[in-house]
Formats: sequence, C-alpha cells, structure tokens
Amino acid sequence: MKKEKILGALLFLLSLSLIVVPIIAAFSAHGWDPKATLLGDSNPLETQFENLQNLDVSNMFANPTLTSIQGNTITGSVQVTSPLDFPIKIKNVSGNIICKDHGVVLGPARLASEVEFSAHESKNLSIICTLTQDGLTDVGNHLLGGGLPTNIDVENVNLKLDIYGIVIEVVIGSL
Amino acid sequence: MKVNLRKLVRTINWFGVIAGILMIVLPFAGRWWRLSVGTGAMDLATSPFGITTTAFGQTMESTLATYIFLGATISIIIAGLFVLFASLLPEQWWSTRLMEFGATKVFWMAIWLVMTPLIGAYIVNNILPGGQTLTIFVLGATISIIIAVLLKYLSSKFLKKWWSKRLMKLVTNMLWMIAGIFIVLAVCVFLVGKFLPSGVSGIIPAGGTLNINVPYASGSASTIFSMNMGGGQATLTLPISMGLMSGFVLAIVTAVFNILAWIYHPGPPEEKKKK
Repeated sequence: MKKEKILGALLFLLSLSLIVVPIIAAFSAHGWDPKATLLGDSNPLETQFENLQNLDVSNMFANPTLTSIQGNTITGSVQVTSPLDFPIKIKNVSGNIICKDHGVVLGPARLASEVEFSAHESKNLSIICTLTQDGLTDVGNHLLGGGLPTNIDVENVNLKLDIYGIVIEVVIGSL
Repeated sequence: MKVNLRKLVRTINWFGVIAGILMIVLPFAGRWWRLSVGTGAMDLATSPFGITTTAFGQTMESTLATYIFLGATISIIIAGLFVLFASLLPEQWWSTRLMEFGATKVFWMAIWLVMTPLIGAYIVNNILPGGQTLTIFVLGATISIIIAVLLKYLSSKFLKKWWSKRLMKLVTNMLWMIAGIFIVLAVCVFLVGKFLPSGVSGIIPAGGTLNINVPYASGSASTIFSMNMGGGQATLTLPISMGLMSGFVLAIVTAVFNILAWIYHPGPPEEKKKK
C-alpha cells in the first residue's frame, strides 16, 4: 500500500514537471520576456499588420488615361503600384469616368479582368467604359480636336481587393 | 514452461498493448485540427503535440508553444510505455497505477481538442454579440454538478465490479467537464454583460456593422465587418474554415483502445479479490 502511494506521488510529480518545466524553460530561453516567449524574437505579423494599417488605396493609382475607342466602348488604362510586402489581387474597380475639361460623365467603367500583384509590383489596369450619350458627344468633340480626352478622372470608385482570400471592398471619392 | 507461456499470454491486456503502441506512434501521426482564414491569410494546423502557423506567407513560431508541445509529446510517449508495461505484466503491483496514469490521457486530449473550438465558436457567435442571460448556464452547471455528485455517491455505494467503477469514474469526470464548460460560458456572459452591454457591436464606430459567423469546429463561414471610411463604406469579408484532420482519426482509435484497456485491466490478483 505504501509503495503504491509513493508510485502515485512520483507519477503526479512526473505529470506536473512535464507541464511546469517546459513553461519555465521557454521563459528562461527568452530572458523572461513574455512577448518574445509567446511570439518569438521577430514577429512577422506585426510588420504585415503595420503594412496593412498604412495602406492608402487612393495613393496606389496613377492618373488614368484613355487609350482606344470602339463603337460606344472606350478603353482606358491606369497604372497601379502595390505598396504591400505581400501579393494582392484587384478583383474589381468600378466608377464613373469624368471628362474634367467639360465636367461631363463619359460613362460607367469597370475593370476588364482581375489582376494579381506581387509585393511592390506595378501594373497597368485595363478599364472598360460604356459611353453614355453625353459621353459619346464629348468624346466625339475631342476626336474632332485630334484625340481622346486626356484630362479625365474616375469618380465614385468602388474598389474590391483580395488579400490572401480576405476581401476588402472600399468606396473612394476618385482615383 | 509451455503452461507458463500460455498463462502469460492469457493474462496480457491486449487492448492495452495496442493502446500503448498507438500512444507512442500518435505524436508523429500528423495534426488533428486545422483553421484557415482566407486563402493563406492565416493557416493553423494543430494537435496536442505541435502547431504549424503561417500568416500572410510567413511562418510563425512560439517558443512557449514549442516547449509545451514537446512536454506533451514526452508525456504521451512515457504514458504509452507505462500502458504497454502495465498491459504486458498486469499482475504486478504497479500495473494498475501505471495504467491509470496513461489510459485516459489521449481520450481527454481528443475531447479538449474538439471542445475548445466548439466553445470558442459559441462564445464568438452567441455571447460576444450580447443579449444572453446567465440563467441557462448557471442551471446547466448546477444540474451537471448535482448529477456528478449523485453518480459518485451511488457508484461508491452500489458498484462492486472494478470495471463498472472505472466506467462510472469516466462518466463522472465528463460531467465535471460539462459543468466546467457551463461555468466558463457563464463567466463570459457575465463579463460581456458587464463590460460590453451592447455586445461587441458597441465598440464598433458609428455606421459600422459586424456580422460574426465562425464555424463550429468543422466547416466554413464568413465574418463581415463594415465601417464608414471618408464618407464611403468599407467592407471586409473574412472567410474562415475549420476541419478535423487525419491524425484525429488515429487519436480516436487510440482513445477507444485506451478506455477499453483501462476498463478491462484486471490488476494484481489481491486487488481483484478486494474488488
């Protein structure tokens, strides 16, 4: 009976030490710093979150330009630079293209197809705009003057980003 | 000699032999449960013996977690060896003690691995939004404790066979665990009621909404958060998926053999007589 009790006590101590010793060893390995013990010496997530927090989507876009016209569809291009340290996907950009010279809404625009960016990559997005009647008249006037409208903007922009499967949809004033 | 060998083979607790071997193999048989946020925003695969976490393409490591999982791995291998020795030599005075030390470890590990994400999902989906009352949780804890105490009393009074006593001990411990879960949920309801009277939506800026939806241990769901941003609206959709992994199947098989071995384990002859 006595030796059974001793064995029971030893087994209890064994269980206890297998819980307590690893915790003490982990803390002592990091000089009793709780943050370093829990998250390691360098926490990659901290950098990534900081990166995301400082993301200003409107600064990603350069000035849009119109490139070609076919029927009532006009194609534009806008250079986008990802400020992030990891890949992102632009799933959609939509909004209204405005001719700033005459204050005319040329028509609603959308992204031709999804575009993937690796870290800090720059790419040209292709934007398709279906011209309204006012838009057709305005573009026609510009064409008579020798080219497509150059002083343009995209307003009421709805941007849909995919960051590692997390979808962020944001409405911004203009590009 | 022939008779001795036959007797030895007859006395071996074969459930325990299988359980002991499976316990030694189990830490190296893969993870038990996984959690994914998005497609690579965060991937986590865990078992009581290790965890693999990547977030935004970066691997994350925690010394504390590594050491605790190492302790659990050593613990289960030692327990497996104990179950194996106790099963091979069941008539030794130490066999029952060693069997009791190791036999229920994997069972409780498997239970906790399923219960933790279940409770976590329940807290996030139902308690954090607010509006829950304490009554049902206090009642649940009280009923579980009353049944556990009653079963303990009845088993000590009426159960004579050692296997029935062990089975009842397992049932009683499960009831204590259920009572513990009700108490944890009650504390969460109390804390949310005290510090977040309107639930988690109370801390979201005006114009924002939070629709929390987390799967219960296995499955997929999306949490949607929207807020006002510069006159416009920003919406964030967070797809979350969870699931049990192949390692968990072996854990269940091991736990079943462990419980059978523990209930069946005869122990030394004098103990059998005593029971």
